[in-house]
Amino acid sequence: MIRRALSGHVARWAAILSLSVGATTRAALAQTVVVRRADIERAGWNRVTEILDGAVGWARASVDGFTYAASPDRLPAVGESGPSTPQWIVVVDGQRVPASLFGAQLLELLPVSVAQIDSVVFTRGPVIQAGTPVARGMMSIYSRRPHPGMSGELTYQHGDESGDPGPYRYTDLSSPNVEKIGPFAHAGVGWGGRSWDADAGVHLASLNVTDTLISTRFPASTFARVRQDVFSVTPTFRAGVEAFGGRHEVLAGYGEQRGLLFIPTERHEQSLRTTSGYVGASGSFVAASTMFAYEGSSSLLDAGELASPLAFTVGHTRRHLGGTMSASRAAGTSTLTVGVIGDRWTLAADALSGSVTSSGGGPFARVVVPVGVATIDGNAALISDGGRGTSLDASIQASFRVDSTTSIAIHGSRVQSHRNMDGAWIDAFMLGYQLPAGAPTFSAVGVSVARRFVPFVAATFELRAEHVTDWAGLSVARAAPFASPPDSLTHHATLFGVHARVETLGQSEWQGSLEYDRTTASGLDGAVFGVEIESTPVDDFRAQLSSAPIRDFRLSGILALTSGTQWAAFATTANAGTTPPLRRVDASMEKWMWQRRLRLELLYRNLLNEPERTHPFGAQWNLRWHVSASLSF
Amino acid sequence: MAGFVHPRPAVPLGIRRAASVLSFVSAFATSNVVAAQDKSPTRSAPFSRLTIRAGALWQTTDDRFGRLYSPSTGYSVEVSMPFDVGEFALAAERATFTGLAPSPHPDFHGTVGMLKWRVALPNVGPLTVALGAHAGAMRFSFQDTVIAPGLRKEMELLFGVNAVGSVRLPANFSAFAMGEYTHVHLHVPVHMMPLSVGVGYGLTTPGWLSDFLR
Repeated sequence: MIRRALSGHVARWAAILSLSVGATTRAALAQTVVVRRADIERAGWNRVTEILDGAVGWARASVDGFTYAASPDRLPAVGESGPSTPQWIVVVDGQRVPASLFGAQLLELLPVSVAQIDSVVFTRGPVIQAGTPVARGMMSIYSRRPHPGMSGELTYQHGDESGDPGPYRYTDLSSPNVEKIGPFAHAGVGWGGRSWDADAGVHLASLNVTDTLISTRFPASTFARVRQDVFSVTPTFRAGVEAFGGRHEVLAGYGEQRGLLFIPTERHEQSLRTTSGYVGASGSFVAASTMFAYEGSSSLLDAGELASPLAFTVGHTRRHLGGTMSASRAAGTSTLTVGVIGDRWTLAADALSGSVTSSGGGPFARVVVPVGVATIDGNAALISDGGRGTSLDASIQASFRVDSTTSIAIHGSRVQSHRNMDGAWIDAFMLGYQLPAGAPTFSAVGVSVARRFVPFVAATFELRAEHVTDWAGLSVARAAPFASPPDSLTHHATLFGVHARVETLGQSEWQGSLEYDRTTASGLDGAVFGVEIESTPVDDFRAQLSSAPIRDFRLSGILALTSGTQWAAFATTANAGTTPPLRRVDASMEKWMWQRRLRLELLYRNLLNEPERTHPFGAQWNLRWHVSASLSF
Repeated sequence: MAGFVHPRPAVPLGIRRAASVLSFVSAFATSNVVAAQDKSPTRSAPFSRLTIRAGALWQTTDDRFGRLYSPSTGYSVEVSMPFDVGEFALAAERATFTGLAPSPHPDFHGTVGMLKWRVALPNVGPLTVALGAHAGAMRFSFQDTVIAPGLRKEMELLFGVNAVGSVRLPANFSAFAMGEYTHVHLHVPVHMMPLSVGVGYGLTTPGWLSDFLR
């Protein structure tokens, strides 16, 4: 374990130590988890949200099983932490897509469906990504390109949860009815030409919210009058063209989600019709021996009322306009990139006669310098966060290639939350909370080693530590939100973790992986933070094994183990405010037909029928099955 | 329902009927032995043959459920074909379950859909026996006009094991008897032991279908 003091204007220290022995010779700047297309198929994920299951070490929490929040770094879960705490970001094909609403990530409204995804990379920790300071982590989605000529895909999945009352409904052995799961569906058509491609699609999903752990929190007459499922539908469009020595892409989508949405800070649901619109462009081109890159987008997220007897207080529209531009030029063996980033947020709410805006941004630079067997990669961004001053975010990584199978990387980073730039202030504003003056700051340094042992098996082992300052807790009653002085509710913490992964490589008959993450907290400034941080699990383990013993036929098994959690802010006389440890075994069977145009999958989740719940107020999931069909041409 | 005991025969009526039919079919088959052992599922190329089976269905249930409902004679259909290992089958069964006195609950139609996988044991003369497991879902369609229409149907997961014995008859026909043990994953689990007896017909899988399945 290496700890390194960092100095800055907050005079905090932080450390991440990473020791990696991995599949690739490129060590990660911060911890990454890669989910590939085959992983998605084996696990039977048919919604983008479900892919979060593969982010080992990310503390995932959901009330309805449809919309999730996640803590990438084990800091307190949404609801235990204060509103407007910084969230992880979502990037689709290099474009930042705002998807956070009150801490929940509306991933079903992203302009990409799970059927279009090639891979997903989860990165946690403070990083600077293409000039953007990212405080806690990001989910980077990479889509598949359409095949040459015309192509299309149809997917459909439906499932059901065991435990229905059946004929015992008429007896004293009766029990509540439980969930149908789905349908989850996608339809898309695309065209791939020599220098351009385009595709359009639509994905939809529906999930019941009739679990008794949800319904019993409402008066029976009230719950009977609210929508019994959460439903989303999202048309998407994407086009790309190769021109001027680079690729240029346009991404667009319009999504709508209807149903109950749990507002963590309020600790109850509201009935919402949430719409999301996004259009963005990105690309690069070369001129005068310089590569120019750009990314810009305009998006909106609207929370409107869906007719119900529930109180509706969060109606608003938040609009985002943002972009980056950069120029990169080689100087000998080094590469220098300079650019500028800017974001602007506009809030229009029922409670406002006009609108409120915020903006932030500034210049950034990146330099990549080979030095002997090492490569130095440095990033810096000078961010002016509206009227809250200017701060410097920076990261540096030194990578060493020891031999053809081993590499070592050392990195350090420090990123401050920029609430005017990332729009995090909107949640607190809408919920009536005054934000503390300080801003959370995340700092880290680390070392990682990557190594491949044999051609088809690799392993990763990583140690890390991270320090956060000025984290806002939620330990006061709703009636006294962040009463003065607001800084009295801020906390400091140091997080230490270990991450290990073993995986097979290549296309052998057997494919599998083992992944384990453990994060512990220390240096907490008082008992309050120590209680809040128990809302995220200490241990997270996931193993998968699949085999294709017969052509066009694959069997897979998945084991997931996660430690239980305690949510002090959600403990009531009727609810212990805990989630049980997760012990889940899944199994799936896939068969390809019609020259692999058609894939059928039968999937069982939670074969042990153990309690599965990620939120103390959330639904509990029993043994369940899914059947899916995917037709591509 | 406490204290109520439904009168049950020592051997369920359905089972006795099935045994009678099976013994008749076996006797008929024995006199029509066809040297067709090479058409047993495990010896055929994957997807090369289709066997369609249809029969009458009788079933018994666990005692707890049997005190509430009595299943009537139903029917079963199945389509199977050889796979690289063993054979796969898609099967459906349907029967009506009648509420029992003294306070009968609403009847329901029980429809079962299953995916089965079996491996054949060595043939014994004209008799082929295969054992395997199955998974699927059971749909409960309640004949209850009082409750909301949306609550009149439920679907529940099931797992089980099964065995089928068949003897070949002339002209690609066969006779079969099939037994299953099924666990229906209701909140209060139900265990069913269906027995179906009927006739099967084998045919070469149409080219378009075998191509599709590959």
